[in-house]
Amino acid sequence: MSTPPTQPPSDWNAETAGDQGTLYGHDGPTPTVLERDPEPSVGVHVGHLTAGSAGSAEVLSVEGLTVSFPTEDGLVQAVRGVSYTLHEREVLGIVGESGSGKSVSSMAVMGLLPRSARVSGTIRYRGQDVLGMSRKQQRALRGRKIAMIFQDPMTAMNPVYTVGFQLAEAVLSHELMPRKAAMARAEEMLALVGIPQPKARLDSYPHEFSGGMRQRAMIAMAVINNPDVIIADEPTTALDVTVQAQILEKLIEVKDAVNAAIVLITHDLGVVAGMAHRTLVMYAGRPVEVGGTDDVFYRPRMPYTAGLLGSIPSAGDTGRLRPIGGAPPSLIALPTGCPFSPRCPLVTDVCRQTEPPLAPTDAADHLAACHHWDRLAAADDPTAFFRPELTGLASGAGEIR
Amino acid sequence: MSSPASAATGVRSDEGSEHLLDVRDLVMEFPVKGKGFFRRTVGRVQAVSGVSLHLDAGETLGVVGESGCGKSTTGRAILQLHKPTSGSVRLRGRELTTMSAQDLRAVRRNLQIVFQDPFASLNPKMPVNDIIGEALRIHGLWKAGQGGTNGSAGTKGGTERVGQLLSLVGLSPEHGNRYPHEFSGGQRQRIGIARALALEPEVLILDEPVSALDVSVQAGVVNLLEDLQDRLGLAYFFIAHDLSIVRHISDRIAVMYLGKIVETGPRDDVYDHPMHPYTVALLSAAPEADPEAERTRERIILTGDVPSPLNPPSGCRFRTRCWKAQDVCATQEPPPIDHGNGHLVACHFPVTDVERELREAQQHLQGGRTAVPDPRSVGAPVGPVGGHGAAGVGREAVADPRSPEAGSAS
Amino acid sequence: MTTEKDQISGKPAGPVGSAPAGTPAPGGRPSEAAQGMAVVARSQGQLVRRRFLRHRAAMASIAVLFIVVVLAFSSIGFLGIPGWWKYSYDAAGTVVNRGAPTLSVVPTWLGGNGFSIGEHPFGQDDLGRDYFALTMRGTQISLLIALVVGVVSTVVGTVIGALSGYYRGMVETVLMRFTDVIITIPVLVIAAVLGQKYGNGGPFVLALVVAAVTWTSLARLVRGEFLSQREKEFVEAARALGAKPRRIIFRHILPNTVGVITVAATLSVATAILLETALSYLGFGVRAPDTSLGLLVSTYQNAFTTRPWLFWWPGLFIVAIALCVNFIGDGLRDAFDPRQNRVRA
Repeated sequence: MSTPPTQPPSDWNAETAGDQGTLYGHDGPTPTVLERDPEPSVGVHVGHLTAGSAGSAEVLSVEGLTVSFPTEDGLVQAVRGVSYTLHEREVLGIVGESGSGKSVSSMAVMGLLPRSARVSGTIRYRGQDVLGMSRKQQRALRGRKIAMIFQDPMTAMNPVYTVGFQLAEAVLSHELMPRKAAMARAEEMLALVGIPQPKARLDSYPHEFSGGMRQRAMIAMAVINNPDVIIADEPTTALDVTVQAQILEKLIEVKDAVNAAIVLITHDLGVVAGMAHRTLVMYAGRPVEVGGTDDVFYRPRMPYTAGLLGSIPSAGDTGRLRPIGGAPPSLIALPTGCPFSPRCPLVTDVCRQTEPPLAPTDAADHLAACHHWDRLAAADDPTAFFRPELTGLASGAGEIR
Repeated sequence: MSSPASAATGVRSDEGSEHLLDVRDLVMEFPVKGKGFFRRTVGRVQAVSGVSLHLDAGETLGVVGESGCGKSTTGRAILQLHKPTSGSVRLRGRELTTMSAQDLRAVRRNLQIVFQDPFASLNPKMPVNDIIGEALRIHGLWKAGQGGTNGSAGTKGGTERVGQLLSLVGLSPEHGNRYPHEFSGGQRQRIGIARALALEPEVLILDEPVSALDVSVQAGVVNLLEDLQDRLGLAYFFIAHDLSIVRHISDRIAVMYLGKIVETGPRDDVYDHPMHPYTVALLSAAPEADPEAERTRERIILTGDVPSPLNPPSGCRFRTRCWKAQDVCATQEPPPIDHGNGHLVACHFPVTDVERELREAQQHLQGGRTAVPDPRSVGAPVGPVGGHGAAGVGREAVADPRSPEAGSAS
Repeated sequence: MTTEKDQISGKPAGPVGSAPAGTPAPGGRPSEAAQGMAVVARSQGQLVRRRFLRHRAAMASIAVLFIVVVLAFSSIGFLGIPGWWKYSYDAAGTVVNRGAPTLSVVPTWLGGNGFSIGEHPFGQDDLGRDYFALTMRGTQISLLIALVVGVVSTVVGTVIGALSGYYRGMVETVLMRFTDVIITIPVLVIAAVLGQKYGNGGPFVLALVVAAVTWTSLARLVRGEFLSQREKEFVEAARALGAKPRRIIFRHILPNTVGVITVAATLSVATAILLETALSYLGFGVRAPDTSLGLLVSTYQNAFTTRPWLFWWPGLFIVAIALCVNFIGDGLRDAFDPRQNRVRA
């Protein structure tokens, strides 16, 4: 999996490699969201991306990543073997419920885990092994080539410094340009993310910004060094629907402007559906399904994915919802076999004994970790396996009123 | 749904309204304290500005809106957890806002609340039996044979009743002596529901009861709420920001914006034919778990954020973010107008055709967009940047057929 | 400690009761929610206890403190109950060996005299009183004062903090400004003035004097806790159920502030010991013929060059007690602090 660093595709303006001058090197208008027709070269359909697919190089590849935390109660296996590749300008959505390891795995990529964490596996950025790097090399990568957008911009920004100072600091910490140029760049970035009067806003403090503006500023800070990879960890979870729509739109726009790829971590299937080329579903610290977003949403091959999709109320359907029974397993004492088996309607003995590997299903690039994916494939509506649960109204409920 | 006998409050007032719960012109102000020795009140924030709504027995009213729009405050003001500044709240015709603390305690048996955060809403130092049984103790219903206005409940011992409540919400009665931290989020939320049901209320205020839960668990709790409603004839005041769940569970919808109800009406009317521009934008912005629909849908992306309630805009409060705003919107506050079937809309220029509106909003923007030119970024085109809400000039909406990249992915 | 209970999840989001074993078959599952309860998670109290028991410094401190207490009260007796030590702290005797300590701990193979207690292990003062008995008496009094101070200042601090934190408004303003006033005046000055006026009343009155100035920090702490706890949703839920303030304070808020109060109370005991020592040293505290560790130190400070043991023995006990109490406080704080989820490898 050690792809050597590749040349950027031809449409990628070479200016972006240099750090002076404008950040986003498009001479023409940047693709705005209003354009129905995307630039042909920008779109990367992941469905076509198989290993070694030509045209777009891998920027990030994660292989067999495991993260565990020793605690008083035992070893918490937060991430148990996550592998994925991220191609240039691609949006990879990682979905999962709380505790599924989606955030921890990306914190590992950023090298932001606490010292007590035990990390193994390989993380390659353009072929270079990140975990094997010295701290100094890692620091040089972090924030420069791999940037992060956090969920809560209020806590992710330092309240005692101005936004402009913090943006400039993001540049200066990598010693890319003099302070004056960094300030100019900061202003440019604020304009890019759609903050009005960017020059005046440089002198504002984070608390003077509204929630949406703060998240814009966070995006500006993430892309200020023209990164290749943006890891967005629940970037809109703290925001309202109308602001969320703005931010997601802005994120895509900015990503195109700087030619970055995005790892979008969220629990919101709707956000992934609208944004991601490929979707990776995590459960109990492992990816249980990976594939093109359409494949995953329309042809789920893992009962958990089907269950998740089925538990969302849809517009036309006013009948009972179909929840997944039970609760996610404890990461300290995982059940043997498939971790989803205690909640799975398709469970058989083999599920309780052996954990299925993440393997190709009906399409080579649509992987699922399920012994019985073919049964899902055979069903018309995979979500129908999850029947409305009995809510236990049996005993004495009649008398209660 | 059989309307349950008026349980706790008993008396029906003569001037009683026909609705179970009737809220009129509710205003909720909070003082803004200054600094200094005496922390004098330097101003007031109006979190809720004249909200009128009603709830009938066995009905679910979904209240949607963005954070800070006053929907949770409205819920708490109805419960008298915060004393409303003005306006009236009537439950079965009895005015709650002027009631004494003693009377209110009795009324609370009929009006309960379920909170958003299942981790913060249960006392971590109390076993579940005590949490659920507390209401019975407070109202003197714990010991067998005491209290109980409508039969069965009062004649049973508290322990038995708590067990009943636990099984009612799908938990095993044996779990009663455990502590909240031993339960998962969904289970805790069920405990919170059981606590609220202990006094057999007719009205439950559900303050974002599933927002803090994982998707797969949400559905279970929603199902439970629906079952309980069928069984017990409860009326729900369902506060949420998740539009799809509100659509699923509600009979009627009220959309709030900056302390006011901008649109209210039967569920299908509001969702299928939204008339207030804010509702249109809100519905168009909510993401759906359907890649195809996401790619093709037209959406209006409002610029800016909700203005500060400290200094709300004059006239229509939505005008600063509305693409249809005219001069009149700044001077006159639009009154709620009934468009039939109880569909009330507070807008001078209500939307009649949503499809056309989405197209027009888009055209309007392409014509009159005011991109902010950035003097320093040479040749760097800036995306659609409207005036920002916080700057107080935002007027544009940006219609966005989802991401160009995703488009190419098909 | 118990393996079958080791199921609490280490997830930051909170515990997840899970059902790796004993899950009912899918067909006959009782309900979605009842699942996952097969496993018992450890309660908050158990966790705190376990963390505290694992805190080495705190455990060692408890052991040392225990020995000191037992030694102090059993050796010379207390409240008329006779102890096992042959001398009384107030009986003068003949000065032997210039009053030097007879305690020897250096073993013979290191050139010492081997372990022996001798006649006056801590030596004698210039009146020939046994200094071990005196030190034990001083320790008794100092510990008693510290205990009373701890209890009184905790109660006062908690009540004032709770009232101002729960009721806010005027109550808070008055109580907190009063607290501020007391905090502003140096503790030692108030205590010295009060001690001068009421110091003749014996150790108990002195303890009240000290408590009167040490409750302030606790009051502020408790107020802060109440302010944050009263906004919690479970408090709001109790109000929605119609609970009266008394019930909310005692059943809901107070149990959730116990950790903070315990830690603060422990540390206030340490403060009290040092404050009593300082007062007695300055002559505003315990008066002769009774004694305390502080008084002993002050009485014999001039003997420091000639007979240093008269200074060192009480000093040693002061340091030991204060250190132990502080370590125990640290241990409690670590045990109660939820952020202390670190691992001791």
